[in-house]
Amino acid sequence: MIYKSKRSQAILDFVLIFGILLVFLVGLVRIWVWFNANYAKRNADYQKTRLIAGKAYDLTAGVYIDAPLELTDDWVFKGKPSGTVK
Amino acid sequence: MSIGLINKKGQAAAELAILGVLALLAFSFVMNFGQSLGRAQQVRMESFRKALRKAYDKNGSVSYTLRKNVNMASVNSGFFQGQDSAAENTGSVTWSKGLSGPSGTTDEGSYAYWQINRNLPIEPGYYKEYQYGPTGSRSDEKIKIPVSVYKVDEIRRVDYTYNLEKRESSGNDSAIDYSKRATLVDTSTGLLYTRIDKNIDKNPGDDNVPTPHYQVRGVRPFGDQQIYTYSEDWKVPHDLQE
Repeated sequence: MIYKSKRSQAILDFVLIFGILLVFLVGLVRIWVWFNANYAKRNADYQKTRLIAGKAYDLTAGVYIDAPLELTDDWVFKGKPSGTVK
Repeated sequence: MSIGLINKKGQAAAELAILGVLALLAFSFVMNFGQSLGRAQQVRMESFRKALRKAYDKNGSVSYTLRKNVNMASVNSGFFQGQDSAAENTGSVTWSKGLSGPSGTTDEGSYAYWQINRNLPIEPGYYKEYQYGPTGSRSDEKIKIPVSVYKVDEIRRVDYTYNLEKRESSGNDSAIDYSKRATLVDTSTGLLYTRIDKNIDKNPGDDNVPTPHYQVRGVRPFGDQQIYTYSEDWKVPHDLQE
């Protein structure tokens, strides 16, 4: 009896730990999706300011500002992105 | 027998402790890698844009180095503290219409800038030397050439303070008041070491690039400070209220 309860404890431990690791992994993958989306967004923002970058009449022209998408709780925990890349 | 049982329990705990830490370490490594990639991309784009802008303004060749000291999210450090990291890139652009250099000048056309964070860019310095054209013809006058930064000595200090206050109040609106404050002061000071190449290519048309002969030119100091603050207050009412 003692040995049986020990086995079940090991199974419980295993399920618990791997469950936690799985949750971490899902969160990690979603954060990586956020990294990738920002990679694309930076590029889109960058290209938008490309032609105007060398125009003399506008002193603010060509100023590239980093405006990444926001990493929200909804994105990490529910998988809902905070914005889109156009 | 009893010793054996104790060992088995200890083994399970040790496995959990070691594997758990390894798993967290692997996650933090992947997170840091992603953040570094994003930061490197951002600095690469910004440095090129700054070089483009300067090249247009100066009507010449510009080398623009941008260094950004950032704090990345980290599971290994305190709340709002992060892990200090740096990203640096140099963008080079040649954009000149007609004779290089600003209107009215004949002895310049090449520029170098070095910038840390949001500070104004530093011009590490210039020297004057004759330049040679593709056919080996020497310029009529000495031309301004920017010195190059070959080493950066930086001392970075990160001061971090954190304070969490919890006050319990009584009365009609009894509650627990929380006050959370964190401050991070990121200070950088350092020196830019510069040098020049004394071995001038007197015949650029022959494709034989002479071996550089560097001469140390001097140092330029730099400094910067970034302050980040977090401040949040909230209240949790007591469950039992009359």
